[in-house]
Amino acid sequence: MNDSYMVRYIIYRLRKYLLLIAGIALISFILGNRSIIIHYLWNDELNFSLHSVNTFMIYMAFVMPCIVFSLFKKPRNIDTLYSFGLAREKMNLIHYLSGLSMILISDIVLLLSMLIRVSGSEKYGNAAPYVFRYILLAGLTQIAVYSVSSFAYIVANNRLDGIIMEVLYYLLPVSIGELIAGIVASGNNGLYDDMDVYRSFNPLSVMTSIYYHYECLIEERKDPFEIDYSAPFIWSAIGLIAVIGLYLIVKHRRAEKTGGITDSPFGYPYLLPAILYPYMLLSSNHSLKITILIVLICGYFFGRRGLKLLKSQWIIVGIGLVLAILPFSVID
Amino acid sequence: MLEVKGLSHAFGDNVVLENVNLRLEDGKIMGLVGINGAGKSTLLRLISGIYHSPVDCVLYDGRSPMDEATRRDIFLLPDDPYFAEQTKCKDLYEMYKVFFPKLDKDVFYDMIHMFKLPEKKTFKAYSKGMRRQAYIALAFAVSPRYMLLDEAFDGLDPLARKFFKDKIKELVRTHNTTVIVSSHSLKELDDFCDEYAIIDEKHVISSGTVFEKTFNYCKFLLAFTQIPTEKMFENMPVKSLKITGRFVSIVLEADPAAAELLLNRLGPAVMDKVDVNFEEAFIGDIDSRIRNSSRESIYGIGPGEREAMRHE
Repeated sequence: MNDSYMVRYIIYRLRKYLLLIAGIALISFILGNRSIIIHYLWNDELNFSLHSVNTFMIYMAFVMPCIVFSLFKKPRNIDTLYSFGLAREKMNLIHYLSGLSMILISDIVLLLSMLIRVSGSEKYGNAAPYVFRYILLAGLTQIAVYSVSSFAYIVANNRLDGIIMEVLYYLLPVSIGELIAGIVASGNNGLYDDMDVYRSFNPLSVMTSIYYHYECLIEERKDPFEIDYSAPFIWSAIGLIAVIGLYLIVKHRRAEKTGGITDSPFGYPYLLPAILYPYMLLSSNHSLKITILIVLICGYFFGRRGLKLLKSQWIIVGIGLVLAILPFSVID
Repeated sequence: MLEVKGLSHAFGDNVVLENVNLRLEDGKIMGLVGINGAGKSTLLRLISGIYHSPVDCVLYDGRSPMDEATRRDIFLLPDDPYFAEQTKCKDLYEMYKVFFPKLDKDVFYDMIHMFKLPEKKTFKAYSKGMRRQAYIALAFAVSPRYMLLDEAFDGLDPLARKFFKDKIKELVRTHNTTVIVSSHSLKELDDFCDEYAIIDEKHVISSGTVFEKTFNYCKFLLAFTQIPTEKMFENMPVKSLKITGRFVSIVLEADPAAAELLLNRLGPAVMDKVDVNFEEAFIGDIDSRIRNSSRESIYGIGPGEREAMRHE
């Protein structure tokens, strides 16, 4: 009985997105079909390129949460939607799944379109297994990015904050990765020799590496670009955690916060220092450190609508102060 | 039966509702009354399960509105209901059909046609009243067990209001639906609700049947040969007083016989007892709170003066 409401809502949502799905499928087909192009700069030779396909996949992963969850960012919509007889966490999960469906449809169309294209090509007739593996690995990472972006968007209380959260949640692992890379490099006389680890922290770098790797293999270039195959799977695990987080956040969040400034512990108050402090640790520029600290304190005052900060926020400010007055950086 | 027991709610540090208690039997219509910002919409959101309420504070026949199954029996018409850029009547019907499988298409479209709503146009092109009419059509097509209506008559023309009230009464009669209506328009609730609850300053300050409410008050129209003054009525349980030349309209919180005796002592040339409406009773209650033992406030003061008195 309960499931029938879920099924009906999934079907309803997909029907609502029918036009969008058709558009995405069409774009995917065109992009997949254009993976083999005549490169005018390279002596009019046929050239295999995954660049457009990869860019489109990244774009889908970031834009899709804004499409499927924007409905939940207006108090007016919440008043109606949450009064229905379907738990809000299930409702949000269905929106997540409808976005995932659109991404999967896009990936499948991309794959089929590229397979059709390479099968009709004399030069790239043997590229099909590579194309398949590329879509599999890039698709896995794309879904992970979509899941984390969905979590980020859900954390926000309004649409603008949702987009900002997506950017911040993208920057968080990048920032941590840069710190780790900096520490590794400082122990190695300033040489970044373990770039794969550093790159794995950035999901977009992971996707770019995958496409470049398979492009090299398909083009049979000498010395093909190597990748860390575990990265897409690690990101998939992170994506799964993000989906569980999304479910729990929606279940416990207060509907009355919709439309307001994002004050979740997963939002600005703790996310900003988590992103900025690694840069403070890496930098020896005092004016930059102090600027970051002032921006953070002002942000707290603005968020709290006054000078009364929470105990945890004072601790964070204290840590920031220590980092700001540190006479050295971790890579010195 | 709907029961609200010791319900409190706060937005951060701002307490909006405190220890609210209500009880509404099946097949009854309750009017939820209160001034702006009193917490009527918040209470309806808590009752409908949009806002989280503490366990066992809101119960529908012992079931929490946080349960999906309970909410399937509830139809909420919010003050500002959902519509997207491209929403048309058909879209609204399709969305509600997902959650109310027994939604009656004929009833919905009959009412849409009766209200003469342009079906092909999007809700963006509708006025507030027209959008509300579309939702009203939906409410009757759903025929829910519990109907919660926030600012129900807002934006409706007099004909639509009368139709809406008649249909609600019919729904209550035929489906034993329990209805809660919040409204600023007390006159609308007067002839329509079985029960009422007045929310003020975070609390339900008064509740019961509309009859009981008006029963405690009596209203008289008086005419004097000399011009009367407010001082003449100083020692009476006055709820409302209006002096226009030699004529006086007065609402007293007293037994009619006792009130008549008191007023007769003033020697009016003419004295007639008239019915007290719900609005007068409501204003009496709210005013009593603001008055704070000062008699001035009952003589038709403005909001600015009220605010000033509150600060005093």
